[in-house]
Amino acid sequence: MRELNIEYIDISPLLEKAAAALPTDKGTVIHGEAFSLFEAMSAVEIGNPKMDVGMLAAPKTLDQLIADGAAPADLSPEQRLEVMERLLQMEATWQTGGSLAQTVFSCLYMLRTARIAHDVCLHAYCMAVCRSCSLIRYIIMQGGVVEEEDCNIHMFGLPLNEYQPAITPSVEEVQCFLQLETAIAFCHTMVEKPEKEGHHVVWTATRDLLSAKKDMIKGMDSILRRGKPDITSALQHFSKALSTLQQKDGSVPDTKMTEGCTSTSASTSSPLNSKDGVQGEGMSKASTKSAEAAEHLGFDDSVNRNLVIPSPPRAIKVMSRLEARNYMLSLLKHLGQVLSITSVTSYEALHTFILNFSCLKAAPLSRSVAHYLLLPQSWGLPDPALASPPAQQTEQRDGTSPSTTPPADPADPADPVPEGSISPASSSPHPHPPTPAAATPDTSPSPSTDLSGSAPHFIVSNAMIATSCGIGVEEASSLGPDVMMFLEQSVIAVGNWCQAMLMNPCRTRRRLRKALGDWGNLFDHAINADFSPEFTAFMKRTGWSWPQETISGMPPPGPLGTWVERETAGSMLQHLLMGFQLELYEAKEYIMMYWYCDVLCNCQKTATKLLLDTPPPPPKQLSKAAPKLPARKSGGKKNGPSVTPPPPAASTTLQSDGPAQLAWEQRRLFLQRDMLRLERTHFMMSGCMKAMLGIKELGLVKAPQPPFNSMAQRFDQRFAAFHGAVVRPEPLTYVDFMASVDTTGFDASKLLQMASEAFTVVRQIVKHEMSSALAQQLPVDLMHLKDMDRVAGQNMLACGVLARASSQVEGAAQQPTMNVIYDFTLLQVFPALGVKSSK
Amino acid sequence: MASSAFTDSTASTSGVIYRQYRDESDLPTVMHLIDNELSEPYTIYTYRYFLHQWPKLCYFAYDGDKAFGTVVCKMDVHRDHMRGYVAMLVVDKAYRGKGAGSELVKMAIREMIQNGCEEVVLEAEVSNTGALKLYQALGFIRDKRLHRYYLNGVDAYRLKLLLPLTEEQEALLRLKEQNCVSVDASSGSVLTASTQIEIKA
Repeated sequence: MRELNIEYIDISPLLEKAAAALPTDKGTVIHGEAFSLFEAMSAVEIGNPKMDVGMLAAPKTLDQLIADGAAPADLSPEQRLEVMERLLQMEATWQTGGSLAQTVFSCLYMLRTARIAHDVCLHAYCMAVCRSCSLIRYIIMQGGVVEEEDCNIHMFGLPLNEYQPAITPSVEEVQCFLQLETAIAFCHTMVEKPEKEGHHVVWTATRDLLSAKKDMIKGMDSILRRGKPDITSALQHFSKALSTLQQKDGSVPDTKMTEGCTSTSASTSSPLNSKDGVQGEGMSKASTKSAEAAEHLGFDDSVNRNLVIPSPPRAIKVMSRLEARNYMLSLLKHLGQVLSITSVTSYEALHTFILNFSCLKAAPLSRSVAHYLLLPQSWGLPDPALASPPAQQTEQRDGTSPSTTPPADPADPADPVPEGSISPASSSPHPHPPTPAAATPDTSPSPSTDLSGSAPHFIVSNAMIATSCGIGVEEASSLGPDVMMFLEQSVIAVGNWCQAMLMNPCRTRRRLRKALGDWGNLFDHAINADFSPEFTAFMKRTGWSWPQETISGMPPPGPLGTWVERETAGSMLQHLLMGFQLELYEAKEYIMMYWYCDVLCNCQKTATKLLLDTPPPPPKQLSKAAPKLPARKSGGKKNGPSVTPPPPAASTTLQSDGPAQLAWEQRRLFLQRDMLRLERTHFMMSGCMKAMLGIKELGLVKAPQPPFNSMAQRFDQRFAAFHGAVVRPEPLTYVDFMASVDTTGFDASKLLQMASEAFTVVRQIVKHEMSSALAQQLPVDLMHLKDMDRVAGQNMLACGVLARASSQVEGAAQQPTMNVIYDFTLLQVFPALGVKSSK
Repeated sequence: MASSAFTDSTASTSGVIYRQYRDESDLPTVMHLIDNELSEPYTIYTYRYFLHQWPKLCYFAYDGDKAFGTVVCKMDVHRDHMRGYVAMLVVDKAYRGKGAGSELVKMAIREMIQNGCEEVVLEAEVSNTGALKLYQALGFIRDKRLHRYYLNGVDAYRLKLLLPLTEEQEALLRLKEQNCVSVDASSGSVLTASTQIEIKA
């Protein structure tokens, strides 16, 4: 049997001979030490249809399929549009986890484009899809935030070229656009012709698909422009593609809009489930491939069976047409949001930007673009992890691409050790002088050492970190090797944090935990820098006074150590809070989770307050014009918490003339705003913890004693990773927890009342934030604040109901006949409490 | 890797006999039970991988002479700790809800504890509420979520059970920590902040 230069040989006799030669002992085959679980799991039983892809269906070659008329070369306009629409579905399915062979290249036209060279539109579209796939693969590989479970980029055996970045447009690129232009012009001509049997609608839809594809490719090309991504151009093209697809929504003939859809629910991880405003009643429907493939002209899901790896095949659910359309709209919106990164000018703004973007649960492509733009290499600059001089620096950030990363061990799919880890601080018995020679900072320009600002301002750099720490850009380079070392290591830590936050949420949480070691090392570097002669002299010279009260007999960290502690606490907090989003915690664990979260939040608050109250001296020009820091209002319990008043409106505070003054003022504004956020979060966490304690006192949390371990072990399981990884914030123990949540002397009613008071304070802070001019300038925050207000309000009511129930059963040695419902719909990390009668 | 099949049941499990795996003559029973219930396809190599190396960590539940449930596990060193792993757990639909699955897992874990395991892990589909309840009642927590872990595209939870250390294990741990400190100090890798401050002051 010969086909496509592949010769098939019957190896049955060989196998029989080999089997006969084996010892008769059962199990001998697996005796090899190298035969691990991975090998065992990867092995395939030939002939078992559950795992041997070759057994899935009767094979038909591409030639046979074409000969049987599965992909006629001459198509009516409707049929052509149908093929193109189906390709869009396949592209969307590929970008969210399907393999190329089973999605885009299940299209017979894509496999043999020469056959349709006479069809201007379909040929141009197929060639454009090819180019789009190449570009996406490249971006995903360069982006370094997407794993195989997100998007499968294997292209073995498919007629797809690797994208080669070049300064000048390639022949393929030029041809692609020429063909698209010609096809679009042709469609336009057809649309202009007198109406005939609804062809206007078909040709308009065809033209729109071609136009959207062209702009999508041009947008990606602009991003990949070697050495200097053209963000403005990319944004224009993505906006145009979005507009075209949105117009098309109203014009497309939807004769098959729901065809082939089954009642299978879409994955909960679908990007369409994100809060991006994409709508459509067909969103929750997905179509199973096998059922649908036969019904689609020009597609066959078994045609590439020989190219799929011989392991058990992953199930593919092809998106419905509406789902695919919504996916593309969502993707383009997210790409637009990614490109707004150009407005980021400070570390604080970058942090906020990444946090907000990660909340969108964006598709792999837009996450990859985001990280690609943050990489210095994308801008023709050296990688800071490579430029960084420490001797212990052994790994580089983003060293491996998904395509080259071997599949994870199925028994332990956790990430490998994160690339580009922070090197430990020197442990020389003379920690200061002399600094190891290897650690002497490189003075060659790079994003990490270049403090002049030649790199795009949103890329993490020494200058960005220095500004955030309150050191002027000019001073930083003269503050000695320890400060430079600290800045360089900070660039790596922050870069790794950005990368972690742009992965899928499951990976993000794990990466945040693994990166705690980096933060731990960075704290050591910060301490070295804080106490270096150059930095202490700088502080003295500029009059930057810092509290010197000892903590447990130790001097407190200086500004740099405090900055690291603040960031570390934030990272630990994110790690814990993501467990709520991923539904990792049971109700019986909520007390300890909110307790630890609250401790970390308070730690962040304390560090932020210190940074805010002990600022670096303002730059000279600003010292005259800058308004004084508003005094903190002290509030008793009756008046609610002490709330930092809103800063003056941005327009009045940012009048300084000069980047140093502006940066100083921006830092102050950010810290002020963040204090409010932290206070609100602290009271929310405190309220939740107290409510849970009250609910537990009422006996409404089932927590039977398990047979093998106790609460102490479960506490260790949740927080053990902190021990050994970080020094500050100091990791806490189970004993600390038990001492802290000792409710002796507090009955359920009292605890619930305390919880209610905390929720009241949350509402006060929210009201304050919402009424402030600052909040009104941030519509996204405003929406979040409204949700926070609703949840806090509902929780107050629930606490009231539970407290009343508590007083009714008091002394009766019984528990209320009610169930508590924890609804995380509005705020993913804080439940809206509901109370339901269990009678 | 493992899925666990559990839902409601009405069948009686009175008179259930539990026994350990003996030899490869039990292999077809394991395969039959698992292939019938779990969605993930396993090869003979996978079964043999577990059963050849850790036969003592496989148990059956019998109703008379009918095997209706089995658990397949392993244990080995993971980052300096002995870790048990529940690979597969199956109870025939007709016998579910009576605690046989829980009993099978408990027997395997007891065996793991005897052999020095400090923790036990496994994976379960996020939608398999029956299995999740079973393991959570045994003290497992949801340690991680694994995105699109199964071939059907469904996420998995990595469940983990941390076991209390025996006195011997605690002593060994202390020794390891001491060694670790001395190794770090000699290789000059990590210093705690407090040490540094002390020296500087």
